[in-house]
Amino acid sequence: MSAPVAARTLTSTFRSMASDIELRVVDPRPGADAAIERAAARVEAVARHLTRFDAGSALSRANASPAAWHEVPVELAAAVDEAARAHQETGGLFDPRVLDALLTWGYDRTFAQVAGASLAVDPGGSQDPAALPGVPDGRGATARPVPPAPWQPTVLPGADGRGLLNLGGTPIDLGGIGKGLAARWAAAELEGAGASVLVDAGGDEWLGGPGPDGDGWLVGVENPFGEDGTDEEPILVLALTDLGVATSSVRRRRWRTGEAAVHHLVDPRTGLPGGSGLAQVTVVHPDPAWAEVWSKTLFLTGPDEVAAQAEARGLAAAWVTGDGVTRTSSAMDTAVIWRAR
Amino acid sequence: MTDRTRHGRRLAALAVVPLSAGVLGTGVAWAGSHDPLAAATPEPTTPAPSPTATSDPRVDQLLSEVEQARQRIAQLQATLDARAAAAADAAAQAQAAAAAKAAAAAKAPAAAPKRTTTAAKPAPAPAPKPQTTTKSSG
Repeated sequence: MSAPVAARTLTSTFRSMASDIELRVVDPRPGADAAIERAAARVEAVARHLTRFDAGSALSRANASPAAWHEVPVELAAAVDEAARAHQETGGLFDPRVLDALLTWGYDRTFAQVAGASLAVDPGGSQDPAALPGVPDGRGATARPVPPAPWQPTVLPGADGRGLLNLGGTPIDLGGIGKGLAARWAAAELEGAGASVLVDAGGDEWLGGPGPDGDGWLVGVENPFGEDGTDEEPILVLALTDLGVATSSVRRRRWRTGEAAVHHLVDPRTGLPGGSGLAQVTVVHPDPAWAEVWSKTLFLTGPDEVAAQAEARGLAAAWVTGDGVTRTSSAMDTAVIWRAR
Repeated sequence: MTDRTRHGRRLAALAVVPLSAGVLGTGVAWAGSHDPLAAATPEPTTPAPSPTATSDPRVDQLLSEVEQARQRIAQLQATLDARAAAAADAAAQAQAAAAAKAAAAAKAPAAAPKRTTTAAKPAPAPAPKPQTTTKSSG
């Protein structure tokens, strides 16, 4: 699985969670290979237990009876616990119960299958969901707001290191935090494996140590209006050390449902695609799971609120408006070493 | 008029001529320069007045004051010359220092001089090659 890419680097790449995963160790120390295997296993465990596209997964079983108690793997118990904390910290904007809206709009299979199905009825005949014009605003889509009461699942310690879980009566989607948690746990396995380590969980990343050149990992921020398969220039380049980073955008996961164009970032208050007027938000945070939580939450605040929310919370954030303008919070400015003009 | 009277008047006239010439300050030379008969003779050089040129106390005092004024002027001129020389030395030293600084700056291009005027915008720098990319995570 792992192979030396350069004299000083050990890298492992594989597919998981419908994404490309990369684990990289710079100046590996003895035991680095084993650390990479453990890190990969943590990613695979997240993919296996938190997916809702496998009817046999722990999450799918819990979603099937959301008011019942379930003995679940520690990964799922920890994920729900952390998601509940995020729900509270974000004032309810982070809410895994948006699953109902996603299912209503047809996102009940892997995204590749959703995209294929929606394109079959796309009058434009495009073969690429990213080719949908502009930023989908969900106009005409069926609204499915979450229940008004705050989400309060219950997680208790179980036997043999497993957990006991009760979802509180509503099925959930953990897509808003799963990759961030995978990055967090893989990073923990790689700690000390080399002078620097990188975990890339499909765009959610952990940048440990000073990087290959010793002056921070150089992280490009993807252009939300770019095209896959092209050697496109980033909109920003960041220099990061011992930090996580996550990006939420509507570049890929958008599709048609009937006549409406929708995306996967659902505003729980309205039950419709949120963040109208924004195309992308990137957040840098010491914890990659919280980088993902805040990138999605800031996205849902929309273009009029995102700056104030980022500054008020001291978040290092960059966002791109629907007309292509890139802005950064003051906390992010210190990390930016290059900007597209 | 008797011969005795005529002789007395002549003596009186001869006595007045040198006296008036001396009072006017140039002695007999003044009289000579105004003597139509002396026009063909070369013009005598005018002697510089000196305290010893006359025994008149008032003239002596004036000549003394003139001499003091000359000395004072000479002193002032010397002072001005000294100041001008000092200023010239300072300017030369400043010029040498500026030349040395410019030479040092030329040897150290990183220490670019401060720009006091708005320069044209440089061409946008290309993006440094990222070692990884954060992208939409779904």
